[in-house]
Amino acid sequence: MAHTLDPQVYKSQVNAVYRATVWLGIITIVEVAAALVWMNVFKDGGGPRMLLNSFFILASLLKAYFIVGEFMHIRYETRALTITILAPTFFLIWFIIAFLWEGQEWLNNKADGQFIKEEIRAPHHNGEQDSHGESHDNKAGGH
Amino acid sequence: MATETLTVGATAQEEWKGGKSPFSVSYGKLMMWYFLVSDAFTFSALLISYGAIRFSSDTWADPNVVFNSMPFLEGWNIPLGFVSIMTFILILSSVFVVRAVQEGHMMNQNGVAKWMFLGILGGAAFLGCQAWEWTHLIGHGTTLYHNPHGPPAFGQLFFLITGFHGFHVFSGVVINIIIFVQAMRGVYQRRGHYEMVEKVGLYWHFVDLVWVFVFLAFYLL
Repeated sequence: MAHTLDPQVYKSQVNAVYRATVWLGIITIVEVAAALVWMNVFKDGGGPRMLLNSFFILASLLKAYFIVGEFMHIRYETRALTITILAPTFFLIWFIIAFLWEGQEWLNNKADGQFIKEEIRAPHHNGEQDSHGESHDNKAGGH
Repeated sequence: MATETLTVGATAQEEWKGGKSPFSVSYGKLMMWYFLVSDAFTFSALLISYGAIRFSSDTWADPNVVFNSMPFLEGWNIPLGFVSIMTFILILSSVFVVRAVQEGHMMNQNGVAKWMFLGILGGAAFLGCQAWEWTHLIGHGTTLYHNPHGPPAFGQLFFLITGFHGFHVFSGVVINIIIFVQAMRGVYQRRGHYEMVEKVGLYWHFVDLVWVFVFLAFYLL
């Protein structure tokens, strides 16, 4: 009834998982090291940030590859299943471009004053209550 | 040669004629995958709105300044130190659950229980770390309305997205505990397979996968 894996296959799969673990660890360490080195080289936050960010994004995609491919076993699934799962994520490319573009546009609109800048302030709960009370008083006065 | 190609094509079509899964996975596993694809879009929407709002602000918080504290080391300046530990904890927890799945393939009940238990510990440790980080940030003035390091939107998005992820971790830990108890009671041994461990494992790795991108968006970029 219960069929188990061939011990040879089991062993190679266990090794593959540990190899992926080591890669994930190395990539994370390199990412954090890059962030720290960058912070110390460009102390006031300057420098070609685009370069560092591209590296971070590529490194994260590589980590995603190890997690989805090895841990979630997608490398060993049928081609049809792999495509079914991964193809929809390509919509994200347009999703990202469109919304970052839109965000930049909001910033431009704020800058040329075509857009009323929202208050970056906490709503004052006490103040609100006061004004509420006042309007109530005014109403009472009106009567 | 030509006939060979034809037969290959024909068998590929055969797989879709019914009677068996062309994906050669069970119904439950396939549905778990579909759920994860939809959940991936939910997280993508959250992270992309983070991106849009960040692009629309002329200043933003510097993660090396915001996240520079460690528990028990008050006053030390360790940029990204604590969050790196959290990342390793989650990766390791994911690895433990993969090992549980593999032991399940070998019908090794004790192995499954042992690795599941370690996976649960990892998840709980991650949640503890997140609780500490939230408490620290709130204690130092980053709330939904106020942020000493930059625009308040930073705090709002941080708590929303890490909170949503943390809730996934929490529910993952609960589900892992249920699977652990079932495995301990020998339910899957009697059933003849440990596929439930695989399905729950998929969810658990997905939580790890999301953390890769939360880490990217909030701590690195």
